[in-house]
Amino acid sequence: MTTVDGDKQLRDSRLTDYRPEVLGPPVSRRGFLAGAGTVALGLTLGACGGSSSTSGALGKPKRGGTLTVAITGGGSADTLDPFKANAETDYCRAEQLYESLTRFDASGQLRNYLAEEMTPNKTGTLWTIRVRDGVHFHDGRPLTAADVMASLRLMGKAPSSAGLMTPLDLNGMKALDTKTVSVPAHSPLFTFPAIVGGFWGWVVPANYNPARPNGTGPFVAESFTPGVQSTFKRNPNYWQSGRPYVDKIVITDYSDETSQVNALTSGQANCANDFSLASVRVLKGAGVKILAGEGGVSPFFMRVDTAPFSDVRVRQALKLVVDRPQMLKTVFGEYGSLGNDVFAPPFDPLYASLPQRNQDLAGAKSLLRQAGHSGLTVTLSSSPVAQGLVETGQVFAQQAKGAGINVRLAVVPVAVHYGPNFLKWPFTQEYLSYDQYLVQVANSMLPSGSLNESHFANPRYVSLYNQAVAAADTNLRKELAAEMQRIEYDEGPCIIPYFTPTLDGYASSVHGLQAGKIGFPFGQFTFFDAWIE
Amino acid sequence: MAGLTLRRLAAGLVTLLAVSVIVFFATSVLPGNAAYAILGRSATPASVHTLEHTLHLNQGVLASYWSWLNSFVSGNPGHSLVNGQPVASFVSQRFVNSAVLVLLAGFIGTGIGVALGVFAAVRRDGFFDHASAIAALAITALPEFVVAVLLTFLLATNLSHLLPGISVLPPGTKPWDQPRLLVLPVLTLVIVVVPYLFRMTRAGMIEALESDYVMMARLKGLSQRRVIFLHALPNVLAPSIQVIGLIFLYLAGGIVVVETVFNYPGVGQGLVSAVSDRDVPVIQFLVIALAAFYVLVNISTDLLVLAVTPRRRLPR
Repeated sequence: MTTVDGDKQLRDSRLTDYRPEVLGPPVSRRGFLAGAGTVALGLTLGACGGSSSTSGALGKPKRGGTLTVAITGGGSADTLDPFKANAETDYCRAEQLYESLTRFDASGQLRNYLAEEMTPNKTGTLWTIRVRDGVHFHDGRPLTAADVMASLRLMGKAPSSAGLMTPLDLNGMKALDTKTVSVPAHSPLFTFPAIVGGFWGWVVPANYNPARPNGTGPFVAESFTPGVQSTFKRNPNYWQSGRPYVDKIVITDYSDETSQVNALTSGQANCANDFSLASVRVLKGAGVKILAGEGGVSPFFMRVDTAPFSDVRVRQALKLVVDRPQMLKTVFGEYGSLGNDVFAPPFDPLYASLPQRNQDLAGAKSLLRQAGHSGLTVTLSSSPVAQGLVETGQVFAQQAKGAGINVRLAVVPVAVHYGPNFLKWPFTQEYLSYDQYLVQVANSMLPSGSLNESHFANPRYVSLYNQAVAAADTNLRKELAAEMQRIEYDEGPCIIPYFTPTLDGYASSVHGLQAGKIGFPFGQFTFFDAWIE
Repeated sequence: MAGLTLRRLAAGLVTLLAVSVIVFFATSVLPGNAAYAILGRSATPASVHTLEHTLHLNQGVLASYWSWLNSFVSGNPGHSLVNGQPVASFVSQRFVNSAVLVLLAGFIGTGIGVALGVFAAVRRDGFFDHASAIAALAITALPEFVVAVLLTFLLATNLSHLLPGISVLPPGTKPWDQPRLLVLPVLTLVIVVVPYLFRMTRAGMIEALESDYVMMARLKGLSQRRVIFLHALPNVLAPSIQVIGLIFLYLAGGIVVVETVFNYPGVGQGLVSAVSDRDVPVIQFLVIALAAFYVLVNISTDLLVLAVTPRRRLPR
């Protein structure tokens, strides 16, 4: 299957090494139980364990208690079907019940999770997935190859992942034994492990029935009322033996931030997601702890097929008006990190360093003059899709005045932003959680992408992408990705002023929470390591 | 009286029909539909089209209104478009929750408002009268959510932790099983409602206390208590009943703010969510129920006023 050459290249590079070196070699069930503590610790702490991003206390985790989680963003459209997940509440619930083949660790690196091994052939046209032993669904059935195949087929049909899965030949999948699946691909796809680790990648049983939640996750569904509350109890047969520590997790829909703050400060919730800077100050004053994650990104998208953004000079001018440090400080204070109009954050394996762009009002004015658009007026359609988005739009409008640009801010409700005009707004803002660079741009920057709000269709960029996902040699992949990032930096349709922090609050009695780098609250709504004093 | 009641009920039905038409067409004008709400970011034209077909959203507005009206009148209010649950059971718990708040706040507020009004009128121009006048004005000027937030600050989160700051009723539990959770929302509504009723009662009471028949009763030597409660107060009832009816109507509408601040699972929250999702069957059901409540309260206050005003019942 793999030649010696391919093996060596794969072994040499850290970028494509999907061997479970963190979780340890495949072990028998007994050995696994013995090493469970180290295993789970290794998985969740990953390479870094900065004390500001964990709530770990020294001391043994205590069993029992209930996590009461207050999540905004949900409503009557709440669902327990992970393939239909849309709102934060849906993802929070899905992450307790279901899991995926690969998973990002706390430092943003992709690791094997339910998959023990995912190995490509030399050309990336055949993947072999072997799932680990000892994993069972909530109804007691073990995880087998048939379940993996069913899950991949469902991923191939779900709207948020169907586009990413098209290079795969899902009809040609075969179960090589009870734990191993071979997945052929029509065209080379070395990014397959990152695809199955995205927020659309779920492992469900072969007889999947959304009305009866049955996953491999740390909690089992007990009750659910859409728009109000769900109660899950701990999974006693969870494969990460010993976890979760709490007995129950109650996830409640909250309609706004103020009630979340009240819930935390009056003790009725011990975890709550996605606070603004102002709320963070209030919470800190009340003795609530803050979990600061990162990895998400809040780009401005300019439609390259609409005047005036079709002129690359206008796009470059708008990128130059942004005073990034001021913007980040105003919206998020000491949290978050600067962006550079490129999708890959510094911890991404394919990140290519480019000179940090700064505000240059004179340069912006000059570019606009050349393009014949001095004194430009544009309408920015903003929406409170995520924290800080509308405030960022306001700061942008303010800063653009310095270059003589008049930005009219049109704030629309979230339902209208994702309504019939979605993917049609000429100039808009968005929030995207993290995925590995090539998967992220496959969604947002390719003509075939499902989230290409800018209608970016650069032939050189597309050609580089196709070569990159087909490149077995990771150094070549890095070079190709670097050139793609250069294109984004120079002529791309996005203004990415910063990488968005995720600010969550939790009671001081809760330990074991870990901030993540994928732009989701609580790492990845990771509660199986949490314990309550 | 019976004839009047029947006529008013018939007019009420016409009102409900008109409301259902207006709301249905207003919702259809809003951009997007339930398919977009369900699919969210994954709303490609193809997937939206398919889902619209499944949910019967691709009929014309008139056709869908007609089919909704037919099923509603025959006793089937339909299923929620976004989560498939039957509308009636899905919202019935929310109704009960909101009804408990409205009734508790309405009756408690009425009791306190009337009592304070009588007390202030009897001790007119005294210290209590002046102090309460200023307080009432100040409180009326405050928006509802400010009162809610102040109460939370005082009693739940900052100055003390006497009461829960959030009133999330676990699904399946009845509001009266968790009385502690009801205190702050009801208290907020009571505080918002009392000043108005207090001022109305006070004014009516003052007028009644200055009337000839009260002077006659005093001259006859009746005790102050008899004069106030048996002679003056009944004459204040008629205008007060109108005001109390208005207060219940106001509570039914104004409950949205309180439910949002305290995250209380009631009709207000449910309606906001349904409109955001363009969940037409749920919107129609909730709006008609609210309109029916308005109609019934109006009819009841009119009948009660007639009942306490014997004069009006005589033929002209």
